[in-house]
Amino acid sequence: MTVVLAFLLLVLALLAALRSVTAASTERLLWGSLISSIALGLAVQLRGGGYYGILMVAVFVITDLMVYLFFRSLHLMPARPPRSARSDRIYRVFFLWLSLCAAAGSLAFAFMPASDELWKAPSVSAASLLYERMWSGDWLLTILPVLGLVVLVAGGFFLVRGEQ
Amino acid sequence: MSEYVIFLQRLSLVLCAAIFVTGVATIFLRRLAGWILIGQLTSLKAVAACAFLLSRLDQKGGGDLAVASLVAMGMVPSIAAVGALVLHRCGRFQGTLDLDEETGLRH
Repeated sequence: MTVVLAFLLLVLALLAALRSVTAASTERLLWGSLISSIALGLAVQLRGGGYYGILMVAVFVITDLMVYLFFRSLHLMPARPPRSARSDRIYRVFFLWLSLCAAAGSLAFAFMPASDELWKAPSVSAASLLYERMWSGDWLLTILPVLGLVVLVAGGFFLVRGEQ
Repeated sequence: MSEYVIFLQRLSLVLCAAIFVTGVATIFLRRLAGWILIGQLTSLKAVAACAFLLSRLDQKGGGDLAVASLVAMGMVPSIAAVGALVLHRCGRFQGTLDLDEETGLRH
């Protein structure tokens, strides 16, 4: 039962996060972010017990209120595009790359047959299995984001240099 | 543990990853400065939850993941405070990092 509730709360957190990142006003941003934070914290509380989820809710909610007050007090909704189009393009491509790596990696860890042992063997340390998979068998999953970061830094240096 | 529960646990991990991707994608889809901060905070929250859920998979060996979750949780208010201060100081919230304009105003 707790697994199902935690799953539903995570669905709610995802929807609220989508709502907050597509908001056009600070109030909508606050509500989306608050609901997302509370749902994430409650899901963790249901799955973990103790006080960790409550602590997570408290930290996230205070942060959301802090960001909201900061935006609200300075009338912050920036309207003009960045100054350097080239560096902005590099920045955005890097985060696109990072998000694609995260999506591919999480789907692989969750659903590939090779990761069954991670979910079905309670007597084996899940963390050590994860570590072993990342650094021995599936080293490619680790090296691709690292290479991406190196290419970003090196490429960004040469591309932005001419703009000074 | 039944197949149904295992499947829900896998989906929970994917949902956390989806929230992370939502936050990271915000940074490049909404290219204005304020959304960089929102995207970072959203993705960090997802990392904190995901690491903790992973650490619950087994009774032993999950300590590293629990610590990673705690670090990510601590980084959320830190990123919010430092990010807001730095972005505001750089003038990015007015839409541009225009140092010439700032210097001109000062003199």
